[in-house]
Amino acid sequence: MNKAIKERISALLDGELSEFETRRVIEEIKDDPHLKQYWSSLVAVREGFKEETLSFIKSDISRDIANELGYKTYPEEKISKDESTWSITKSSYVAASGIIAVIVVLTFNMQNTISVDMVAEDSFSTQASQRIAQAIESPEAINLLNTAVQGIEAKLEGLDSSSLGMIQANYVVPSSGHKFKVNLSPISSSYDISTNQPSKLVYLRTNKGLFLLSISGNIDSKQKAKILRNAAVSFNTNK
Amino acid sequence: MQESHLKKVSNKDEDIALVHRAQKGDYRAFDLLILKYQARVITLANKFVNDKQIAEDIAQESFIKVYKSIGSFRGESAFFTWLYRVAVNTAKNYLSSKKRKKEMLVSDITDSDTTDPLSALTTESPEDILAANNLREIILKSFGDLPEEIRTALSLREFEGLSYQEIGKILDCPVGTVRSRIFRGREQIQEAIDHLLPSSIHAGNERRKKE
Repeated sequence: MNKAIKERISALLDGELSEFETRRVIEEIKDDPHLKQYWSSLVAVREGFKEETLSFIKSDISRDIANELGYKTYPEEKISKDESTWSITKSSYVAASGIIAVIVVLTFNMQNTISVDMVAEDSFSTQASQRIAQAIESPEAINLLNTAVQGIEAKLEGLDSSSLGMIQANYVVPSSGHKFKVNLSPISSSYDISTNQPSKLVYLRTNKGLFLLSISGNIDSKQKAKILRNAAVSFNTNK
Repeated sequence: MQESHLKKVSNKDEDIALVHRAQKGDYRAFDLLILKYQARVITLANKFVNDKQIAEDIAQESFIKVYKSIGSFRGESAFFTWLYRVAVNTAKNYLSSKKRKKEMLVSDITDSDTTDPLSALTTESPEDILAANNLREIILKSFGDLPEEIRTALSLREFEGLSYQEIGKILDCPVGTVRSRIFRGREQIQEAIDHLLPSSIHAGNERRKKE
């Protein structure tokens, strides 16, 4: 997907294209299911500014309506994301609150191996909690968080969990006071990494599963690139 | 019933180009309108019936009604206003029909069991609500992280409903710049939530599989 067509899709969402341009965009969407999905994801972004509709953002009745009206809209082409991603993510939300206690312990024992006893329930939330516990216990994961910021003027302030159940290492740059986070999260092994921009993320496949490392906050692009490079090198060296 | 979604966007119907394409028989244009508004219509219907599955059915029926009469749409109101009214009427019709059925049931059955069979159906699950709240949290966090000029352009669009031209006048920049800033803002937020969203194509299949 090139940026030009994506920008036109964004403008179409706002009704800022002429009918001629609209027709051209529709033609392009017809040939590429990813563009149709991009339209849907921009709709989700827009709905995110409204509180109430998000509960239904994953409902899709478009194909049922097309069938009812006798239209075949787009080919049944498998696109890159898997349904299970949503399920795992939802379970991570549920798990997030339960895992905070684990994170607090980790703040004081970062270098130590932590044993977490999980209640053996075969539920999404339990599975997600176990995934995060595995991430914390994983030597690769701990090593990664420690070595990723080597050579960067940054001080670890603590660890936290996000709403997604990610582990966030919070850093501050003493000279500027700027803060940034290095996020590490276990993700579904069926997740297709090609859907994200590798320049902003590093994916790490370990014997504990697939992890995603990303950086956010007030940090310049050179330092961000260095951390990502460190993480990738560290992982590849220790593999 | 609140009509908060009827907030007018600028002075024109932002969907008019897609509506015109649909009126000319281009179903793909209508399909984009469905994708754009289905969550809002389902949300609206759910307020009436408090049942997700029925709300989806009402939304589906509403879109079908709108499509079948789209040739008569003259643009006197915004497309969404029209769709909204159709959905409200469809939901009300459903409730009337349900009430009639219930009255018939009560007159036929004289025992004390007044359980409404429809009330047993599920509505939004706690997981859905939690997931939605967290999705919103990420969207707003990403929005807050945007560079100021991008955040301003996007907020004028999303919160104030201004056109690109109006935003350009306020920010003293060309329309092309406004368009680019809004796109870049959305792109950044979209990247943050992309992995949380199900494929719309798969989601459609998922629903049919359940039925």
